Amino acid sequence: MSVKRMVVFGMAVFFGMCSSVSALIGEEVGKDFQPVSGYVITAMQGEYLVDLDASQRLAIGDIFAVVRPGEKIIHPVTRKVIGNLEKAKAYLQVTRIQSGYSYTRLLGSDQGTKIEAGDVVRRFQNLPALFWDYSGAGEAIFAELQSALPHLEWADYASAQASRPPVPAPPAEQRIALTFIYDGSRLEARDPYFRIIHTYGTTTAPTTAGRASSATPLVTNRGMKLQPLPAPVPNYAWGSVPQARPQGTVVYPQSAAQPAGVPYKMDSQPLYSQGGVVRYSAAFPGFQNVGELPRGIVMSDFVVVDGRRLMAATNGSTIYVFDLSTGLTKIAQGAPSYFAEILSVKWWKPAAGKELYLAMTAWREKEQKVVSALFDMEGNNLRLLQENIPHILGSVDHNGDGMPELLLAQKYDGKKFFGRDIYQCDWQDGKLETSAPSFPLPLDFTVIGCLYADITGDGQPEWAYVRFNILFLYSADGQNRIYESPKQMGGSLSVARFNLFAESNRENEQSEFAPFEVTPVAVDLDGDNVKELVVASAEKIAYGVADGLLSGVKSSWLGVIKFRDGMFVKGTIGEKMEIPLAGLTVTSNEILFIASQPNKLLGGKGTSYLLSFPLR
Amino acid sequence: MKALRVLLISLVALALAMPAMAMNVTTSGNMYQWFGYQNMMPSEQGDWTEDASEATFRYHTRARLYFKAEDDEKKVRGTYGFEMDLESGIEGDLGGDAAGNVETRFAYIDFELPFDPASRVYMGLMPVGAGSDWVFDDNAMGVKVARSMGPVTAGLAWVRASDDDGVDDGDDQWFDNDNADVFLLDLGFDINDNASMGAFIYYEDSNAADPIWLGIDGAMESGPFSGQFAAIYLTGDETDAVEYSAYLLFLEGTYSFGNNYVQLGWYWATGDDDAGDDENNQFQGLGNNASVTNTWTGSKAFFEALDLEAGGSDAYLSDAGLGANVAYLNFGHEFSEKADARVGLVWINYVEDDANGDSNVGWEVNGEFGYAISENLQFAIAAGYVLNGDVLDELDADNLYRITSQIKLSF
Repeated sequence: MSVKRMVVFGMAVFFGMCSSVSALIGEEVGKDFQPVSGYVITAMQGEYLVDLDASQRLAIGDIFAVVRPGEKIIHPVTRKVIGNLEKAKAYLQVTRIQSGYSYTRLLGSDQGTKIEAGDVVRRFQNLPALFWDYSGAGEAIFAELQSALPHLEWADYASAQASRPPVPAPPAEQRIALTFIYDGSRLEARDPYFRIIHTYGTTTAPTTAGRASSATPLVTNRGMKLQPLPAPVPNYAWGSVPQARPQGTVVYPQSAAQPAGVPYKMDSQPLYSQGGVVRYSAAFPGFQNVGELPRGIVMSDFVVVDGRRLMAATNGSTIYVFDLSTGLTKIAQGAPSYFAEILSVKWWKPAAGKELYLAMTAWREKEQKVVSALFDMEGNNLRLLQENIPHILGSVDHNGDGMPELLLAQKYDGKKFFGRDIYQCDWQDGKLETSAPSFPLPLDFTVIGCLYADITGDGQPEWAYVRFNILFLYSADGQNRIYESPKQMGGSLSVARFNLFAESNRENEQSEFAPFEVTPVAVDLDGDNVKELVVASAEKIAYGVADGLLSGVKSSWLGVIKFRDGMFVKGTIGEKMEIPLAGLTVTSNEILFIASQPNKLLGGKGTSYLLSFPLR
Repeated sequence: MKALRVLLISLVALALAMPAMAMNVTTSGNMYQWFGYQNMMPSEQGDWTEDASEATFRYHTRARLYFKAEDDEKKVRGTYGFEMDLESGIEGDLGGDAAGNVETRFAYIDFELPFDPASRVYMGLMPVGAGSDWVFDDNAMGVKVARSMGPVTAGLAWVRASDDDGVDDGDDQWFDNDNADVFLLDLGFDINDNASMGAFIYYEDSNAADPIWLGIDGAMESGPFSGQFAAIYLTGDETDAVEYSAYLLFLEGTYSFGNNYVQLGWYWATGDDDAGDDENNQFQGLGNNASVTNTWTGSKAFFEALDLEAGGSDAYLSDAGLGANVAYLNFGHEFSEKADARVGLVWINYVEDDANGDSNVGWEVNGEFGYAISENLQFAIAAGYVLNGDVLDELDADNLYRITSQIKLSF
């Protein structure tokens, strides 16, 4: 074969593959948005039941038009009725799918419209749709979508492009419409609340940094006005402790439905209690990109001090401090004087009038030793106070005032990394002093990824910590394990590699890995005065993983652990992602968390984002 | 019968320790690629001239892979590990046939005792280090129990020599002794966060000899200073007529400043001044593994120029029986979190004079540079040059030098 022929053949294959990729996306989208018809069964607890279920490929987030029959279409010659000009009088969105029926919530309706049993519903019928192309080369994809989804009311390509915001962001005036966002490698379909309901293609390309600005109004205002998300979450103070329930108070009736407005999704019937595996279902997706962080962030911690919400984050070699009260403003950065792998950063404020400290845990693999350090925040400066601390440092809010006033130091153990000896720390005369803790702790406790809060609502706090990808809950005396999650928690990128036999044997190097996990957050998301645990969660590759070579994280998400009906149930917030989480906090308006792509095997650090899940 | 009892105890212990949990299977390991050149292949105290021994460019691949099956909380673990060595540049043709060997390095289980979580039991072919690695530093079959009690740690082990040929060849080396039992008791004490002490007693019971090692060791850090030491006394019966009486002393101090360090180390192991008397004063470890030619001195030539077939240059100190008096000085610098370098000097001597009345074997100048391409992938290049002392001059030896590069993938 001549060179010329080979080139021509190669080009043909290339273009053939390009067109087939576009066709594949169209085919996939076509399946997910396929029209399906059904009927409204009844109204129930503020929602509407429809007679469709997963067997019709229904998915949570799907939108139905409740149609009203319009003018008949009569053939001019035969005078036969060949159809109806249907019009949507309301839109419903699927919130839960059961066998034989599904729950839907009203998104919006024409004024004075009443939805009744027997009304016809058609999936995605006559729904306005926009296509935002951030690649500049997606017109073919748009054409494919238009062809695959003719039942949507598409805004034309040019006008949608002209009105799209520089960074994907919810429209200023929300109307009931779908938004398709294409960045050259991935196609996202977002619902009217700008939450992702479907994605296609590969991992999204990095987007522009910074909090997303409001979009210009939609090119179409044909859509109905979107109802705001119902029943906003209670506006609690950060870290405040709700009134404790008397012991034994029933939190939910046995068959209680999920309260409206709760931002997470629970299984209605827990399958297993105390240590068992609980089935969970995917919840509403929808995260917003607050901004891009320095690359390779592996761990972070949050605190609110003097009205400022500060975030400390590390990429393994440098510590960055951001002020989130003023957007995403970097105010300080620092590092120890020696080279070490920084695994964790934890804020510590011993008392109200005292300084704010930042405890760093670092590891020197060469010498197989922990070389932690303590900094303080002097204004907007990170000042190094003490280095070469041979303990793993973690802080915890022990008195429930919202401040991490307790700094704990855990001894390094050559066999397990997190040793059994744990000390309480105090800063005295320019030195970190340790003493035996004045309270009991669970036996296999870790000072990283731990918290102390009342999760069961009985007025007694519990210890919670994540270790080996399992969330453990212990009674305050550290004696009784009251819950042990499935192995789906944590999954951060902060991992210490240590030699199991470094202490006794130089010849044999057997690597072991100690993951440093993101601290869960205890917060009452549903306003029932009992805190839930929001936990960074991950599904890891089950077998044959080379621990230290890859993150091994197949997918990650925000998990919720809730004590209900005397047992713990597990839920999720938002969509699953393909990259691990590196930090988590909850404000009164949103859940803020960091997602970081793993570092490359040849040294490149992965991209890191601060993401938000709006609670309001 | 004894073996059956051990097996039964193992099974009972496992049954107690194994909660009904999921098992996770993971892999870890290291793969090395070494390219090295040395100007000659010194044979065991033989000819050390370039004319007589072949210069060699060697390519050595080593893979150490470990497979672990463990429960969710890592309380029970089974480990199988093997090492594969492939070498080219010594002899043979292209291709991998007969160019390497595969060794089972680990095949052991370890678990927390369910009624005493502070104790952990190890059983099988496992890593064993004894006496700050001066007495033993390799893998061995046996059973070990380790326990932590606050600042105190204790380890009690029984290991047994392999019996691969069933023949007692009369050699005193432990590995060649059939049915040799070795009992190891280690105690450790953390004085504070920055200082620890240890004490140990090891006893070998074999057909040929019954040596006993008694020792103390320790490590400390204070500001920029850190150090470690070991002092070991070897006693017991070598034969009915000969007793062991030997010592080893080891001291090492490091001073760190900025991203630099200076390290000074010294060890002194007695040699036998009279092979005909009733005392053997040559310090030796367990079996032929332990040696006094430790590469943590920084040596890149003299202690590493091994001819795998012939024993290599380290035999000068290990087998000559004249003791070792070795000092080393290293200066290291870290350029960044990824790159570091070191230069060093090793001074190598016998304690006892050889037949020519000489004790200075030589000096080695060495250095290395390391660069971490990523957390998992590391590159290093190292070189060493030996300046002959009186012992080697008597042999009309040429100066040995060696340069080697390494790529290491860890996971």
